[in-house]
Amino acid sequence: MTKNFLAAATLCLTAGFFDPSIVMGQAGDGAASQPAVKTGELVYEVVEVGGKVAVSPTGTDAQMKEGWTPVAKGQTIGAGQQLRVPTRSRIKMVARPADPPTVILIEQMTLINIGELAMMDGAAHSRIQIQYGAIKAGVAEGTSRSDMEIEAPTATLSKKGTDIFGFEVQADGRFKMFLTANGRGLVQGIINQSGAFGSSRMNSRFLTPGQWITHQMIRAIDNVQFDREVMVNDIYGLKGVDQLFTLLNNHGGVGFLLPVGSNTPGFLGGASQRDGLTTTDLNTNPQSGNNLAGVLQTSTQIRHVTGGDFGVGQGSLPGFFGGPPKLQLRRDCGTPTGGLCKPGTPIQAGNFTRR
Amino acid sequence: MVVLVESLDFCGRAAPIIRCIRPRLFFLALILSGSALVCGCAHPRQTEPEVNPNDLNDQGFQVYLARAPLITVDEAYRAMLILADGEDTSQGFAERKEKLESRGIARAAWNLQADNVIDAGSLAFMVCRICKISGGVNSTLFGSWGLGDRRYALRELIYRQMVDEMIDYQFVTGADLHGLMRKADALMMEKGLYESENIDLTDEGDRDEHGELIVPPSPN
Repeated sequence: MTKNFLAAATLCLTAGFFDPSIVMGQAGDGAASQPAVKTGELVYEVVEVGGKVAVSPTGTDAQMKEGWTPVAKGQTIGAGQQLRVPTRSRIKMVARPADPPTVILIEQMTLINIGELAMMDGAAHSRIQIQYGAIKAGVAEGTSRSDMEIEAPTATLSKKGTDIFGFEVQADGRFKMFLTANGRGLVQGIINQSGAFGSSRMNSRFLTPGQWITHQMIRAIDNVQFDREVMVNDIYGLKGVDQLFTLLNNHGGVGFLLPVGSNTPGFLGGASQRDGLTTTDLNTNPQSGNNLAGVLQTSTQIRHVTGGDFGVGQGSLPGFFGGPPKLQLRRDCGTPTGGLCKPGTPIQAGNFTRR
Repeated sequence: MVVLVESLDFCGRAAPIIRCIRPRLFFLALILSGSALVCGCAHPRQTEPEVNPNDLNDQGFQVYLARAPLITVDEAYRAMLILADGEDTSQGFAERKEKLESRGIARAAWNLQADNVIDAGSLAFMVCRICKISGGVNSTLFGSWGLGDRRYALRELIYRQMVDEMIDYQFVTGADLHGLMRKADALMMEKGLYESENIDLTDEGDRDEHGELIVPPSPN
């Protein structure tokens, strides 16, 4: 029995020693206050550190000296810890285990707290709270998804399969979020606004690569000058599908001249059922009428619409392209390609005829 | 001032102002106006902070700056020494003042008092000196010998988007100073004004030839 007891005790001790749930040691000096990290959990491993970066459990007063321990390279940071990065200091961390891992850079004069950090349902779930400072991260999509949010007092950054994005927060709530020019995916910026029964999120915008927003929630494209090329499409120089695409998307850049309802075919002089001038063309020439391609190919005349799309009746366009004629005829009506002319139209359809 | 003089006129009848001006009152008003211009609007903080910043180390002091509503001249001087040298080993305001003025970061002509609130222009000038931001033509021609030096320095920082649009004589909040210090420190690191490991995360330095993010290897 003594032998059995000793064998059982030895077996228990040995099993305990090799139990994978045993705490893994933390590298670096001053690591006595680091929390336990179990296999399967997500942690941030410090790959580069400079200056006097310090870590402490969440809730420690950042102004005090007590409770803060220096961070060393190779150390792991987990949920429930906060990082204080003073001047002349920076820290770069990588989330592990994750495939592909997340790379996070915390810049100088920053105070952040890692609220949640875990692998949940196959996704790397992380919630970081930033009191002030700047943080940049690159999160690439791989075999596992990445669910990451960075919360500031007045705004939240939610990444949508993104690298490299940044979030700068000032202590008074002003912030700037951006996605680098070569960044991928989207970043969603959400303004936090308190409601009557607690905080509620409002006013969100998505950022595409190269864009940034600030606390005024104004896109950079509204403010930045000479920062990007602006294509001015020449609707007369473009042909075919290119012309059609341009007109459908931005009205050829002259959408501001359109009457209420933006009647593009009418503006371009194409056939419009509402103007009552082209019923014959509609019936005989499949290229004209409602087919915008046909309109572009056969008519280059700027026509004036007597009524808007919704019956508002804004009348004729401003005299930018000349005075409004009472009646305009298709230049090529009466020809094999132009179709039949309207009743009463003179035979000599090669010239304009005005009544 | 004209309205004040009119109300004190006892001529009792409609008379040109120039005849009813009381010379002694006029000069008194003139002196008071001039004093206001010379002294400015600087004054001590109305409320004292919850913690004494002199009891905090440099890291704790930086956290304190972020939370302070207004910053005094003494605190701003300490912040500038931390920005310039990475630490502040001074024992008091006099020592900080002497250090900054001897290096040309601050100017004695400003006559700033330790307990008064710092203004944006003075702070901007000090940051420009520390970060070696030379400024434009106006700053070089006039600011170099003191005419509008602080105003031009502030305009330069606004142009560089290191501070938001503000007036050079307005008071500086702790959040403003903290944000400015962060950007100034980043600029100094970029310029190589202090030794650093140059840790960064950028498109240029952290992407491979395919545009994929480069993940640093584990140090363990």
